[in-house]
Amino acid sequence: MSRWIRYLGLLTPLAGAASPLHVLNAALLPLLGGLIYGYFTERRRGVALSPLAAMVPVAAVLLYYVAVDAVRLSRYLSVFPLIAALWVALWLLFFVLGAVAGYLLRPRR
Amino acid sequence: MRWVGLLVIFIALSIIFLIPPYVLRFADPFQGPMKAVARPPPPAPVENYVLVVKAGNEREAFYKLGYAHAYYRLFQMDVMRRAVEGRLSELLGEAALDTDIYFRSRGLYKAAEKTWIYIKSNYPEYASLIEEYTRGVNDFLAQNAAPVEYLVLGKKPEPWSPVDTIAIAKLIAWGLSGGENDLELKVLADALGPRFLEVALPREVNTPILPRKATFSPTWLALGSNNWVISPNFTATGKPILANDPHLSLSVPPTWIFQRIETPDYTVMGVAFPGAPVVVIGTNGYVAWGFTNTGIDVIDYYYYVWNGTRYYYKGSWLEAERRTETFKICDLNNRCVEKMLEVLETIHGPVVEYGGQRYAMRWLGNNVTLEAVALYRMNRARNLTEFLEGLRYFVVPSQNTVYADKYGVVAYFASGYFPIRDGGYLPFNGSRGEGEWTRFVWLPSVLNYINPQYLATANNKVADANVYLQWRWADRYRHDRIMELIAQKAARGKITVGDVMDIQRDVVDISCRDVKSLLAEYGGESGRRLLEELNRWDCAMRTDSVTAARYATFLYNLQKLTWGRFDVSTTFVPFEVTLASIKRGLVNRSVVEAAAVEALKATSPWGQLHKYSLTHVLGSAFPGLNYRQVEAPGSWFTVNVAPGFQVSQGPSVRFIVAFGDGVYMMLPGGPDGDPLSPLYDAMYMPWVRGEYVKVD
Repeated sequence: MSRWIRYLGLLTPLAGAASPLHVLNAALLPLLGGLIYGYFTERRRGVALSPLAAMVPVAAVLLYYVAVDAVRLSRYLSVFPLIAALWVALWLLFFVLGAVAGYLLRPRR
Repeated sequence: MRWVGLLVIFIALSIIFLIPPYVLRFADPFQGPMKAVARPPPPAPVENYVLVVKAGNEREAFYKLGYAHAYYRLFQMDVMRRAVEGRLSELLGEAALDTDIYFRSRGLYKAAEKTWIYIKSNYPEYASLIEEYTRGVNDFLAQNAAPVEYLVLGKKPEPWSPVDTIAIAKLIAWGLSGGENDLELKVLADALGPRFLEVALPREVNTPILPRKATFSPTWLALGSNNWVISPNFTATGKPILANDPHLSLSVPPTWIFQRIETPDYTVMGVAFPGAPVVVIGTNGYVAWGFTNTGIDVIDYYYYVWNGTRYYYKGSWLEAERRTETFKICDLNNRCVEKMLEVLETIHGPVVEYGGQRYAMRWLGNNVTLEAVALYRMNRARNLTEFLEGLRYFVVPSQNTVYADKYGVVAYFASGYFPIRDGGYLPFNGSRGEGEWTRFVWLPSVLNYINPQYLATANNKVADANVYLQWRWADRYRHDRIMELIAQKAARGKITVGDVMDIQRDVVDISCRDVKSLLAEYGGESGRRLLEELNRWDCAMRTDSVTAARYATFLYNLQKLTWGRFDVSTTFVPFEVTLASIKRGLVNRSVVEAAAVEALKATSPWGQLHKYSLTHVLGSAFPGLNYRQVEAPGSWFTVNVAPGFQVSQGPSVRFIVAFGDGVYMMLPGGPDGDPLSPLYDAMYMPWVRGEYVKVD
């Protein structure tokens, strides 16, 4: 069960698709996603893997835009490489911080 | 451990709180710039780099055109209208404030408002078409997400208005009207005395377009480019050829959009300014026309005796009108501050400051002017008579207008109106009532040439005249080279489209002929060495030529050393005037040898020093928006013009109409202004290479 909830954490940043708020989409949702992921992670290794896990929603967004228009996406990445990198960096940062916090806050057995 | 977890959350929230909002906007993959990856399909197709609009009637065509212009070029349109309105700093921040003050104080947008009111009441049919165009733009805004530039800036585009369309015409007209030439000339005249005016004003060696002297009878009431027409007798098809490459700022996206409008009544194609529906340079199958700037002086400056906000005028003290302008300056986080500026207006126009002195500025374009109506009629004209009916409405900026039609007629007109006054090259003493405009002359009534064998214009002198028209004519070299090439090709046989393309691509700089004699006379030892090298050179400004690099370095340094000590730009004084000033000893002749010394230091091929640099408004922050820098052939004086070292001016379109053959063009960039579009820079490299696309 917790594993499935943990996967839900990976998808949480994607909820931004329905939100008009930049702060939510760029930072708070990845943080929340990380919290859920960390909270339902039982092993420390899971937290260590959180940077990799943060790439799952990043990949989902990229796949979405590939499906929408792959040529325009590739041009976006070449015209605005720093903005694209900033997005990935912030999602990574807040997801990992969330995962660490969630792991520390989880109930102990 | 839980408190550590809470501490981590606290740290994360603190970081979020400290991050500037614009950074969060950038990083938002759903509502930030990345959202622009998704884009609806185009409302009108781009076929062969041409925006094609087909409609059942004219109103529908204008509506579709408005929608399509917004789809392809909204941000560019917005920047242009905001520039005129003096509201660019709301979009781009503090960096644009000086531009805003410049244009707002000169009152261009107010002139556009007056013009729109006039058009609405006097030309309601045309006004309704502009309203359809506006509706098209605004429907695009209502139905679509903002283009990527707005997502980056965090701004929303405001609705378009018909005045914005007129304002864009005013912006272009201002840019081609000469700006502060009178004031800059005053700097030189004050420093060098009246002898400089004796050299500069007549421009004796410049080649006039019209072979006869123009006489302006007192009883009449009323950026560089190339164009030429060749009459049917000289062409392979037996029909006329018209060519035009207007030299404007090379920007990203390009200044022009190439469009083809098809209605049951008429089909017209050519280049238009995004934001304005009419074709400016083009053809409708019956007639074709092209423009270069004449530069005829329609701006005057007036100084007065001031007492606070009162000025002395013809024996009495008048209170200047005052208007308070409020500028809103917004940063990337959309935090705005306001600045106020009081602008004075005298009987002559708005007051601007130059060199610490107040001048009132009078510009013909600040009146109600009807270029939009003129172009609309020219778009529909089917013969010379109808074309001239349109040209009658064209006021400013005066253009060397070349004309050709399917019946074999070719013609030249200097378009626009000219205010008759005594002088006009230096500021007038407004207090004494000097420089009043007494009447206007419709220039085509004086400056025309019907059915020349062939004729070229390149911003050179229009004609020797009995009145002052202007003095900063472009140097004659481009004009003379075009005429020379046409004559050479005509001597070999009938002229083809390929020949005309060769002329537009030509990079031979014939100013080298003048420079050689200058070096021989005043060059000293270094000049002699440079001259020997130039004598072995064909004067072609090719990218792989070291001699071309040395030659350009010489020209640049000669201008800089001659005029750099004055408070004017290096290129303000035409090269012919520089040569005459040196020959007459008006400036120190040692500059020739000094420039030759600098030239001989150049060791790189010209292309390594001389590159196209086409930038986007946001290109300094996001270099990916700019077109890539590539080696540029040509120079200041070549037909394929490429002034300076970082080239940001040049042929803004290469356009050829060969009746009986086809229509050819190439733009320096792509038809689509959306940076994520594969068409964003689609024509850039073909343009650099001098290629063409046949569009009809």
